[in-house]
Amino acid sequence: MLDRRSKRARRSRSDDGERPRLTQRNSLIGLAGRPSAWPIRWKALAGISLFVSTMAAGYYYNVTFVQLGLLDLGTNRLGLAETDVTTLMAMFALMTFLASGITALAMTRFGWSSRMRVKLRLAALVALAQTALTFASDGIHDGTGLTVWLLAAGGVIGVGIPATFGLAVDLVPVRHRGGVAGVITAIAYFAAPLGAYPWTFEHMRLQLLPILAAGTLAVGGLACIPNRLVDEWAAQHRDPAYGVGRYTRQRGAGSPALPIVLAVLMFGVFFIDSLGFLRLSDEAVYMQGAWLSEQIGQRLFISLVHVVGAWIAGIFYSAFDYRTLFLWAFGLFALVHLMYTFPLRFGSPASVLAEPLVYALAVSIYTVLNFALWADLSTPATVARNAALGVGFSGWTATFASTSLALAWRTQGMPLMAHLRLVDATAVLLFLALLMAVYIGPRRPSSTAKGVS
Amino acid sequence: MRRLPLSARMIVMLMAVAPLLSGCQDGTLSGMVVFDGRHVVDHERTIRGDLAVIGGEVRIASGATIQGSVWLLGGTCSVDGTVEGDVNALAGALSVGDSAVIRGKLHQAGSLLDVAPDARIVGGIAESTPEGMAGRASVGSRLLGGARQALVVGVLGLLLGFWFARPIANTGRTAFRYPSVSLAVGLLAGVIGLIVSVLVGFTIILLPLAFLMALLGLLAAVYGWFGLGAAIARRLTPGFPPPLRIGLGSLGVAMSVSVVSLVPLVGGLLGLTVTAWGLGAALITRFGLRAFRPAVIPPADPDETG
Repeated sequence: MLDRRSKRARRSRSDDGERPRLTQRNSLIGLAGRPSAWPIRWKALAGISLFVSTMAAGYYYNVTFVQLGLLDLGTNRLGLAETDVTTLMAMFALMTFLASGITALAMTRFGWSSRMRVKLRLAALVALAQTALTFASDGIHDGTGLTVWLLAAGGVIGVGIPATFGLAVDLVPVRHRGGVAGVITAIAYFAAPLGAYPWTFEHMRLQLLPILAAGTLAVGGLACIPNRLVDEWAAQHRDPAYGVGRYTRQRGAGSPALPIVLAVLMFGVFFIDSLGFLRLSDEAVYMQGAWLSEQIGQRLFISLVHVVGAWIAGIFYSAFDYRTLFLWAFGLFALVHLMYTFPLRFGSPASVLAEPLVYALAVSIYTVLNFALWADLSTPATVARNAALGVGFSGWTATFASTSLALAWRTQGMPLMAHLRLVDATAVLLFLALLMAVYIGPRRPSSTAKGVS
Repeated sequence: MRRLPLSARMIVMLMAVAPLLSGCQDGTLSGMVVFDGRHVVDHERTIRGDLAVIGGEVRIASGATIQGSVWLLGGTCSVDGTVEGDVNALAGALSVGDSAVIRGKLHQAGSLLDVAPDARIVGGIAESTPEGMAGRASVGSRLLGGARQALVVGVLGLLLGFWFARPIANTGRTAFRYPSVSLAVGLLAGVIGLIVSVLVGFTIILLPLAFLMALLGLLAAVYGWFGLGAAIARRLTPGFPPPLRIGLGSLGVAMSVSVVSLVPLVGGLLGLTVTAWGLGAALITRFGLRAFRPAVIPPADPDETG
């Protein structure tokens, strides 16, 4: 049986001369020195499925309950001023960033970054805490309660970032990271426009509680009950096909500052998205003709565009590199904010589906980057740190900064047109700066290297 | 290919970016676009450039002047003043009053038209019915139209095959070797290219650029068909000379797209997918002039796994 499997594996990889021999040995025999109880393909698929379901559920929770549901809770149920709720959300983002940084430091310091069981247990604890917090959120009756809840939730999500993103080096082979990130994005964003409607706290809370509970049981079971499958997954990061990220593979070719540069670029994308959408979401005409449309057809259209965008981004990530995706993301954000200003230049806001189409494409493209990039910049020892830097700093600090800025602009009475033009100008600036950097900068190292295509 | 030195690359970059600054100058772009609401161009008022009505209601009062042309793409427009250029009524409702003067032509295609007897239209009225519109034409006439179109594409492919057989073959090879990359690039470039062309067209002053962009997009899509046709014909008719293969293959692809498009709902989508596939292959190979190589993942050092 083993011989036949071994021959099949050898045959299927005969065109893959660069793949290290460790890949075959580890996958076939198992890193514990015993023959694997699971066929290679099923073991890999099960690992990828675990990662995809964890990340897609987490992201769906984040873009629906956290970003929309809590806003509804604060403004409509508790009757707080929108400015107060936005300030609380900014504080929540900062808390998340701090918690992710501290967790990443601890994980790196104690070597948990490369221990899958620890990451899985942390993920299970996070899922349990999120379930409890989501359940308890019904008991929030005033601003103080919301503040305490947000601080607790920020801390929990902050712990979850390095733990869950760090699982990529154990579960997702490097060559499939673009595709896997595309699948996560497609699932989360296909469900969001359809499932989150009508953007009310209670609807999202009731919808997410069973998902969170099921997730807690599944991840908790895998993390706590001893089993061979998890043991084999936990050893996969020693295989370079899993453990050594795409952009860490050429010593000397990439700058050591690369993660920081990419975190700054990602910060730019998150910042533009958040700053623009915060204001657009105030305009009923833009929302009711798209994400908040009563017609399911319009929301289904946006969902499908997200899926196509995620598929395109997954292909682009594998066939080109991160620079292509960043250029597209900045370019599309520049285009879409320009599109939103067109009706304003000649009259009043008008809803056309072309704008949500471009917006959905841009969001899907950078979300795919977010799911694939940090693991590809890392080894098992550095993945927690890089995920915290990438997701914590880029995502959450950008949200904090853009929320604060949007609040300041609103306080100053800045009109919609001026707001959108500034966002647009920032996107154009970043697009041109990146274009110049790509044109003037050094050649892409991976394109000249001999490797696995 | 050797790269330009850094200073030269910076100059090229600056030259490329500098024209964007011209958009900051007031008065560079002139004209008017109306999306919705009621608008009146008062008498004695002059609009420099064109007027485009996409929605809403516009009245050009007696004594008012539009120095360019009027484009009616939706909504309603009533003309009582003077239009120096043409009036193009492509949709919506147009009424031309007794005091109106149109120095150019009045093109009517698909809009409701009401012209007062005393209105002065110097260039006359040119009416064209949208007979080519898919919904109204019969299957037979659509097939005939598709066959004519396929023949033109086939002849073009044959002619181009004499000079560009190799780039076209490279485009086709790439489309079949990297189908998902070709399709992804073609889809994204096609959708965004179309949107950008329409946006550029809205500025009125850049209408020629919009037409040029649309034309280039169309040529690139047809070039993609040539590539796909060449690759298919290479398998079916390996003994034929390359130009003939390209011509026959392109004819086959164009005809297949026309036939498939007749299928309700999915037909149009399939045709667009095939077109996007070819377009993407043309773009990633720069019209077949270079080989497409996807990014490679370099081999890893096993010691790095920690």
